[in-house]
Amino acid sequence: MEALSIQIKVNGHSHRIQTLPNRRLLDILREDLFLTGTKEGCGIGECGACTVLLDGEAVNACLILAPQSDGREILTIEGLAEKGFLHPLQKAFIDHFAFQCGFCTPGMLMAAKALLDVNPNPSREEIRQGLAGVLCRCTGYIQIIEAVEDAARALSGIAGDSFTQRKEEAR
Amino acid sequence: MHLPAFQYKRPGTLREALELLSLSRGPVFPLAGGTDLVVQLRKKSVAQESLLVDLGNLTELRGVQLDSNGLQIGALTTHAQLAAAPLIQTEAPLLAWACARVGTPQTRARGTLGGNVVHASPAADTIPPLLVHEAILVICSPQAKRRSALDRFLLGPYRTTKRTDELLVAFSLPKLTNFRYGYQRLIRRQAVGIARIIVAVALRFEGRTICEARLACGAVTPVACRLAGVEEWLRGKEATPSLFQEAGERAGREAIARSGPRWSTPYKQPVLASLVRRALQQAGGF
Repeated sequence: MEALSIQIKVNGHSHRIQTLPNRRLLDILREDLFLTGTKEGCGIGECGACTVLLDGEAVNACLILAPQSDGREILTIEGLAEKGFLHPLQKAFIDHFAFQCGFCTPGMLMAAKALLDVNPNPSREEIRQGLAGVLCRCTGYIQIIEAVEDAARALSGIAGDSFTQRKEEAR
Repeated sequence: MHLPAFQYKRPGTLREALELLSLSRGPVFPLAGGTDLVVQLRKKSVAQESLLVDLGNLTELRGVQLDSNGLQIGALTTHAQLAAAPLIQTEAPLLAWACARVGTPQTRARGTLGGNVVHASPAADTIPPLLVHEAILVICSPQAKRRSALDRFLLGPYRTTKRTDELLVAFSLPKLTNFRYGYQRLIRRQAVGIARIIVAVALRFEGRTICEARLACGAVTPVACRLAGVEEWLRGKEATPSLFQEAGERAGREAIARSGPRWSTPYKQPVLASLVRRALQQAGGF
């Protein structure tokens, strides 16, 4: 097995990496670039914990061999916040308590980001479909779906009806 | 977890890819989207001493075109691309529906039509729609190019006529005109899972009379297939709810006759009958 050289752009930064072909994009992200926000759950493309964006599309990083990512652009959870400000999706997940153990959260956020990038105003059903590739065993999904609805409103400039805001109004 | 060792090549052209496949002495696997193959590579027995030929650079095998012979689909076109392609939505809506439902958004972004067909799972989502379209497969080896009807290509569960030195490069779907479509899929969970029953139907009417019926089922027989007996029985009959009811029951009997009775038969036969009735109603517009 020969090592290969690949060039990838991750969260806006270019990297040239020497790797054996039997390593996956997930291994490169976690072990070479120390971007451990992307989680390994099942490792067989069913749980979605390793979801990242590859050229803008949500993919399972556990099903992509490192050399297959050569020349491509990747966005991980570490690249979601900009200039120290949380992405509206991250903010909405906090406001809605849309996680408990948090293991699926990076995958959920990246799947939601991919959805909102192409469909800024999704219906509840479209959100469910968009997130169908990420399993959460804690929350029951309702808070997650509400958070994505809220983030969609925030991103399209409509005042978010965030949980905190509603709580304050209730006082 | 790291995958066991294997050899890896990424050819730049179809010719190079075919040469690599034919020259390899050990096990050789063409790598398309990887949603099935990368999972299999976790097994040392699969990976050991094998050569992976990554088809990712063969951009000539991607895309959809409509010409005088019908739809031409590159084998490396992904499920997500097919589900979103206006040409597929209008000319092959059954395929668009199937591609929009297979797996998850993450696997649809990677998985390819060619990979789904070559993997030849009895429950492959795209196969029943392709059978309804009577898809022709274009298969290349270093020496020759051959064309095969899909039903002849599929030999059994996970078995096809494709030799290891061959690549499935394209699909040709003859144009269907004035057909109306129905698609039903039964699955335990609407994502990730594997379809338990798939029904794809195309009907052509003159008034209320059915002049042509095409009916394919997946996941109920060892190989997805057309139910020719029901198709023949439907032809020339006037579409009514009771006709579709009976067609469903006949489809259930025909499929079980093919698969042989199994432990799941008491469940699958009536459920298949209902799904066929629903698909026919969907196609019939009532």
